[in-house]
Amino acid sequence: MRLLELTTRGFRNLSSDIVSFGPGWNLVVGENGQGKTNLLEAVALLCGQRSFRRASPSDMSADGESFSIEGTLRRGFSTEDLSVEWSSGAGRRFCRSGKEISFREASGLAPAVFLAPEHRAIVTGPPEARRRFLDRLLLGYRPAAGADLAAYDRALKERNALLSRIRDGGWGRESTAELEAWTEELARAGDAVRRHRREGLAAFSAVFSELAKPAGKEYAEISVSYLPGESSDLLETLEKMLPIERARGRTLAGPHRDDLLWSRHGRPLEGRASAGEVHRLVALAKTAEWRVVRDAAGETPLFGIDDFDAGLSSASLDRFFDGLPEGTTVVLTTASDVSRFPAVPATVLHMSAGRTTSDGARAAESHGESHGMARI
Amino acid sequence: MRLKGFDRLVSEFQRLPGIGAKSAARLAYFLLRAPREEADRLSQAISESREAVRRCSVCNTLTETDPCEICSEPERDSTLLCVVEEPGNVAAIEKTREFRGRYHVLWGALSPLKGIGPEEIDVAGLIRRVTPEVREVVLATNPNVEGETTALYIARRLKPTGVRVTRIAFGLPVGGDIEYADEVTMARSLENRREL
Ligand SMILES: [Zn+2]
Repeated sequence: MRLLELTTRGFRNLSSDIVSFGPGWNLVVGENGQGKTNLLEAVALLCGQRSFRRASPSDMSADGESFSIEGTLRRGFSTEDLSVEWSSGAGRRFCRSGKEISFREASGLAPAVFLAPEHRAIVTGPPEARRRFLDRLLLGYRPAAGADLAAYDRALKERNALLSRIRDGGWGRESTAELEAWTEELARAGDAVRRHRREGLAAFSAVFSELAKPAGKEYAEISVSYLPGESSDLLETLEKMLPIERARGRTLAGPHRDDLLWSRHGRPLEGRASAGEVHRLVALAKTAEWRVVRDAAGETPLFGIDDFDAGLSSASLDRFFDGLPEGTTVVLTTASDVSRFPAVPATVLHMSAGRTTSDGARAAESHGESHGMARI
Repeated sequence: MRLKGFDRLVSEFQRLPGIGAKSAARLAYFLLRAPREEADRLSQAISESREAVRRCSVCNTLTETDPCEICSEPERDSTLLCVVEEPGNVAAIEKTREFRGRYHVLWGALSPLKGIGPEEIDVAGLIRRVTPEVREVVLATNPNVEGETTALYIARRLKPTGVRVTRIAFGLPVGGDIEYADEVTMARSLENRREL
């Protein structure tokens, strides 16, 4: 997939000028605080994703009330107009050529993977960050899983509403059968979510270990597994938990409390990996996600990396560019001076006070080749 | 200048399902610009239909005669009872011409979030209707979380009666609404119903 153009209105500090992306790699350069990450965030939102910085829509809106992002993409031989608008009253709305579509359709139309410093939470953060990572991968790997994720979320809210009513003394004559029905529906949706997640994780693990091998022994020996294990039966667990759940007024087991466990040699990785190792591991994990989504979508996903060269030596920079995909839009933001990448065939977008100006595909042209074709 | 009458009309329209502020204003403008008879016809239709249309005392669907047409048809199969959420669902199933039994309209589905429990939908009336004569209860609630749970709940409540309880099989996406199912899909889902 290629992102050709992007226009935002009322989004963070970005101006409403059209941003034209080059056909391959795009380097967004500029000082800190100019809006480089904001631009990448706008791309993520257009692709049906949430902010990788975990920002709420009202935080991203310049006036706290509304914003809109429009983009033109190319898939195969067809061009698509995609847009997302948000307002505090109506929430998020996606459109394809002016016709409303669901966020799942939008993320299917614009497959994309983003890597930002915040993603270190996949390894060092709370379980929620790992669930979010896996569910995002799942939407790209198997879009149909989205319906089951949504159903589980809904069933969980409904069952929690009933449990909190029961806790507050609303246990009526019909409550037993009513709660049993909600428990059964929740377990059914939860089993589906766990099945999708385990299968998505298996597909991920296969690609991850392939990528980790050349990265060195310390990465090749890392594996990731789903918690709880296969043997856990949700309906049984919920039935056992019921007395505590009735007292607490909420659901205490299920996919919304599951986790991923990173381990090396069968020992949990957390606390045993250096900051540098975590950084590399997360980059490998996101690259693996990109490949999983590519293989499933049959369309090369866009790849966006925020602050891509932070902490990279010149040697690892070369390796980084060698591993970067072609044939799709890649957006890389950096606070470094553009002279740090003299031979990289990329379109350079200078970001200053929310405005971008382009040099054109400087490196590619200097090589006398067409856009994005030259490799370092 | 505030037009109180206009504002009132807009706010009444906005209470209707699926009508946002913009549509409400558009409808209000339309009625105020159209000839007076147009508006009179609409208000008459609303008040007369409220007078004429009521719930069937047997199956709860909307009807002008009580019992409703379907409940009054002697050739209908009384051993087969189809449970739906809304009167509109009856029409959707009738269109398929596949179902020759009788109906029961719940007027909703279980949703603790919306404060809808078993007492807020007519499960009690359904249980009263499941006499020994009834051989099968077909649960045709919507294929979303609330509809599925309502089906599970009803199946539990009907268990002591020993009646056969089936759930229609949806070729519809999860989270859908049977009201928007085409006739072929609807017919197939009735045909492929499975035992709960
Ligand atoms: Zn009737």
